[in-house]
Amino acid sequence: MTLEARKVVKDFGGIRAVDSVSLQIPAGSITGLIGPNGSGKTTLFNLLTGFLPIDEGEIWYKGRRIDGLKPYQVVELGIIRTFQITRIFPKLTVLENMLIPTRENGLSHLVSSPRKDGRPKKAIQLLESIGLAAYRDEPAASLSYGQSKLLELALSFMVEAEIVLLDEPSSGINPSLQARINQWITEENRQGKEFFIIEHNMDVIMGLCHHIVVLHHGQKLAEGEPSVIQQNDQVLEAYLGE
Amino acid sequence: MASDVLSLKEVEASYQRGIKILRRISLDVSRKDIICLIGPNGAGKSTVLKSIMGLVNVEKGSITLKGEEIANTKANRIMRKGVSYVPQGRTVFPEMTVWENLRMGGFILKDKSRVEQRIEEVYELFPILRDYRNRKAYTLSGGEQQMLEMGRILILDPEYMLIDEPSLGLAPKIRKMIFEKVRALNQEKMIGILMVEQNAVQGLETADFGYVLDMGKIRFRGSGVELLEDRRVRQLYLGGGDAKKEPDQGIGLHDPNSYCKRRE
Repeated sequence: MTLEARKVVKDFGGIRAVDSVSLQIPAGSITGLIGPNGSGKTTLFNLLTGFLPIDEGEIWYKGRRIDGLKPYQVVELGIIRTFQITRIFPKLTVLENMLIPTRENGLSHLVSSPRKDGRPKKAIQLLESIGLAAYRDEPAASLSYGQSKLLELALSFMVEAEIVLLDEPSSGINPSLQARINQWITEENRQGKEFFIIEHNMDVIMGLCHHIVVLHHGQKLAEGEPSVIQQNDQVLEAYLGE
Repeated sequence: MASDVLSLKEVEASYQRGIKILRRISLDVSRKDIICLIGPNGAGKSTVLKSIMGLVNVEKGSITLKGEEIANTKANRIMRKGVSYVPQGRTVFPEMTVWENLRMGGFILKDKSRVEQRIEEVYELFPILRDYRNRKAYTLSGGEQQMLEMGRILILDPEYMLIDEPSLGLAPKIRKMIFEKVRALNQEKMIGILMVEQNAVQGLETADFGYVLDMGKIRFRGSGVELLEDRRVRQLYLGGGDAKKEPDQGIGLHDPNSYCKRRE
């Protein structure tokens, strides 16, 4: 068991956004998190990664309790995330953005002497494979919405992560790139990285994930293998609208 | 040319530093049409909408509305002429209520009694907005916020609506409903729709006509059905599964890096 939530609760004013959710990311898995808009998915990500404090419950990672840690401390443990609305540095170039993420604490790596660790090479390879290599020296602000989503996804692959939380990686992305992105995720997973993915694209979720958790009104509605979830009447009714 | 048309002819546009985004884009939207633009990330789809709204500099070509040249006109004046725009991503005023957001949609109208009347019409189209009229916009779910954005621009009673990715970030059930609303706006209110979509299949299914943009140019055009059935379009832009079996015929578009940079 790697990342685990135990009866986690989060209230916003009078609204209970996350209502006593318990879940475990199976070791070595790609796990999907689905549910209607407003069901608490992104809030749960914010709680798991220290971007929001939990009100009740506990969060554990590899036998250690991690609720209460700051986001950068969570990153040091190897838990990386992306955002639905991208958070890149608009005035830095695309390549500079790629070289910023690191698991190490502090910013010293940004000002150290020319790098010999292969990171720039890896960055350029990643940019090539999502069609952004030609933009490497352009300010990130010049990217379109979809391109900045792609950049942020690529950033998450620059870190020596143990588990990566992706918030809607395919939204705003042209379907022709999807196969390539799925391939990255599958390859990294084979090398031992775990993934926890919020996604509304059912082809992506059903094609990639070993395990799926469904949220509805802040509560866990269902959990299981893709084939089981696809046939769950409550899920169909609340989410897929079939 | 028929008079009641929003028409782009040979439009070329760029942002700063001479990076040309649009190259000789020509397309027409009538009030009977739903038109969908699809294409790779960075192809120029959003820029087409921005060029109509005067948000990006049109360097060559013309944009006419009912025969009148409107290229490089300020957005607020374009809106007064009957063209409204829903940008990409969530753009509601989060701390304002639903009702206040709708009122803001009529900001440029002098006659405020018309605003109230149109808000009632919006409530009829999107009943959930009436139920939530006193809730702050940030408490709405993604689908509800998208409805609020569409409702907000209806206050100006537009003849044409430009919508950038209406289905972005929406759950499947809500996505379906939003496309139905787009169709209703077209059929019941006679609003000509020009939309950008990355849910390309659903976008084309909703549209009467579609264009595929790539590297700032129109590469394919056709009815929604024609594009959905076109083997090259499926392979190159819709993530079609037959890409491996039938390599494309040397148009060279399958490598995303070949269509990035357009420095003139």
